[in-house]
Amino acid sequence: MSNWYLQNGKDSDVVISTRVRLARNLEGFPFENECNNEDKNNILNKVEEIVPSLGYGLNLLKLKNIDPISKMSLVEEHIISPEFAKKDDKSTGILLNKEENICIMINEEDHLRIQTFSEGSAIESLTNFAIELDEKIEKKLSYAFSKKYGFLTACPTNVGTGMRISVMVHLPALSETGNLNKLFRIINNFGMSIRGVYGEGSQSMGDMYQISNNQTLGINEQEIAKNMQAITDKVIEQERIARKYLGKNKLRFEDKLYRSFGILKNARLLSSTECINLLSDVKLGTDMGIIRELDDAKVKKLFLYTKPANLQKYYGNEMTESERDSKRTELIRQIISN
Amino acid sequence: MLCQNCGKNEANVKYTQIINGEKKEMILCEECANKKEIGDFTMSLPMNFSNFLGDFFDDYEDSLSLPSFVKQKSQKCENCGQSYDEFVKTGLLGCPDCYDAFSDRLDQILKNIQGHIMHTGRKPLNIDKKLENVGENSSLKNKEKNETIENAKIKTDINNEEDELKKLENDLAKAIKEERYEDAAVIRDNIKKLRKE
Repeated sequence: MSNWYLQNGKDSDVVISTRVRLARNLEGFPFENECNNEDKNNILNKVEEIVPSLGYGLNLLKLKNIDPISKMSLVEEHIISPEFAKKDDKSTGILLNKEENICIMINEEDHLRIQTFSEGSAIESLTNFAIELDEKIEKKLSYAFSKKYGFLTACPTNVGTGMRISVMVHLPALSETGNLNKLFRIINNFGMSIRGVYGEGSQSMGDMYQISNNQTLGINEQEIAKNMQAITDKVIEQERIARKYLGKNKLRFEDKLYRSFGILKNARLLSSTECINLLSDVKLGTDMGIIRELDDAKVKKLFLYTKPANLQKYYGNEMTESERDSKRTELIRQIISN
Repeated sequence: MLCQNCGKNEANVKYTQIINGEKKEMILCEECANKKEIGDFTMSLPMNFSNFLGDFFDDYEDSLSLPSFVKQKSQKCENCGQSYDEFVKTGLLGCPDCYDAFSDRLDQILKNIQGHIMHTGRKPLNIDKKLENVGENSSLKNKEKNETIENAKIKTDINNEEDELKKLENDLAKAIKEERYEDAAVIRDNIKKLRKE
């Protein structure tokens, strides 16, 4: 069985993946930013001791033992944060299982960042899963907790439940029809944020966006999950309406998508930016049943293995940018024709 | 309004050209403006979440004119030694005890960024047991034992106070909602009194 990020889940025509994160800190230590190396090592050791009792096939990997390309591929798979990958890695680590649907970052901004992942939309089940995991850990380790403020975190934006749910969505039709700004405003009004997944700032590549909750205090875990579900359902509904609208102008729409597919299939040099934008069209075409040459699994593979670090990991050697741009097209043709 | 260059897209960039003192204005869409290489306003400001938050927190400082807060400004967290100023700079607290040390000001901030100041989510399973068991642990030395009991007592007191505060705050909200402003003023004063203790 392949890992979650290569599979398709519920509502996967719009929702790429879901993540639930719990921020936790251990009692008796300062927060990570005030920890000295000894503290950090102690935290890492404490976690290491309880790994066997947690189950789930979790393994502790110290970041210093992970080569840079593998580390970057974890960032590309959204399993660890880019900030975490950049950290001095002497005392950072992750608890990861084979399926990679659990990843606990150790000594990130908080001592523990417990994360659960799933393909497609899986807000409720992932929330329950994260809490189940949390309950196992708290039997072994004492968390910094206050009756008033809840789970204490280094940054007050995470305090309380420490829970952040993020849903990654593909919104090409809302973008094409010029409805994104409206959507952004509505989501912000509901106390949530939405931002582009690829690219800096407001410019988003490939029309991939991430929606997450802002409030973590004065609201319980089930309420956060319920609100996220309500918003996600609405977003899915609106995107599908916009797709139907685009589909009405059949010939022009099909032409646009097939042109992208043509370039993707035949180009001999592709940058990762151009590739993401083409793949966005190709995914849309596949999800709408217009492009029939591909299936969901292939589209997922194309998205993942064309990213810089994953491409290098796939071929097993380091490459310069121009080498990658060429190898990328080779791999694309290989995946498409297989 | 449509772009004056391509006539297709919605215009959102105003393009002003001055040649030999003659001013020429055009309304363009982003795409055409980019082609004219004038639309690229991107620049990377040294902005990150923490320093943004820091400034944000600092604003509260300016608006607080109560003398008691000024006194607290020099206060540090007794456990980790971090000052409130450091928190403002980084947006990150130093240790769990900081929440208590800076609770007055944090409540203000939390009210604004979270909308609430009280946790209502789940608690660690062992938290109540832990509070009960404090003091019963026979492996502790006597002195330590007494200290822990003392701490536990303080904690219970704090909890009672917290409950009281929560109740008063609810009353206050209710009074304001029902436009009983005189009652509200009395409750507000009670809350203030309780907070000082």
